Amino acid sequence: METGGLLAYVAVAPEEARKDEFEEITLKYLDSLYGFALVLTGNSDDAHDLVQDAYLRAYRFYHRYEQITNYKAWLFTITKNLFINRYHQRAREVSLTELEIVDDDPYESPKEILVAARGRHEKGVFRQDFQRAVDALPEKLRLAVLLKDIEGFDYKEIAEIMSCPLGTVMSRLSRGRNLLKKSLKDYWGTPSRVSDVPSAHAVA
Amino acid sequence: MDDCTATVKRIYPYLDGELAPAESLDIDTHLQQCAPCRERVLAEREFLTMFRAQLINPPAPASVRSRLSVREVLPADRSTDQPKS
Repeated sequence: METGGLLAYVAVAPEEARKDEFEEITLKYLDSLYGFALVLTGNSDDAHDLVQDAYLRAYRFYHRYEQITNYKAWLFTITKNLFINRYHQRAREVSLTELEIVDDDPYESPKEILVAARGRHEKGVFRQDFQRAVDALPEKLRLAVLLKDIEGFDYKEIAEIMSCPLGTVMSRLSRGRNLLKKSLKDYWGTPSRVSDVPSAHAVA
Repeated sequence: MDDCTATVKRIYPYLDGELAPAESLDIDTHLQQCAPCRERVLAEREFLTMFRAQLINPPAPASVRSRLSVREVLPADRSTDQPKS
């Protein structure tokens, strides 16, 4: 059937072009998405599956591309939503609830870290220590730090991706970064006592 | 809350550029007058820069990429997949 054949050709060609475009634009974020999925799932097998599902889901909704103002944040949101749908019954989310209540974390001065870091930079242990400190963070704090400090999202985007209030983002980020500094001080044997801001902590 | 405590509390939103302009200006003004806070903010900025430089997302394993294909999303028989208008 000649007409059918022609129609099929017309329909297929833009579809192929759309796939190419989708792949090109989406694969740019693959490393980021995998890193995010790894933190969410906690293991490489589930992270593989999650990225794959998110990728296919993103493709399914890719026709809305024109309306998506922030593609990277959109991909992250899809990934997070898939994760919640699939894994929300797992208990690992629950254990962090109490962390939200504490919003006044002691501020850790980075000064000792900066001094200690100068000596370590050449030794090659530097990056591993940072990674170890990040890995040791509780999941939600790690996610906030990852989304901000690695992926460069702003607070509003992080709040959207994580479906939480802006205040929670700020609190998680602050807690995460302060814990991170504390870990580094512990690793490097520098005092991690808060002595930097007497006025802020004399009350506490 | 004195100005130093307020500055420490908002140090991250300030450095992340997330404060409203008026709030940011309050901190700028305080920093001009308070050397310890100025030093603190500079140290924190240096720490964040150093930290971010160390934390680059490692590349996803090749196995992740190899499993991704939208080529397989639509079956070869396209008659079952009518594009939505």
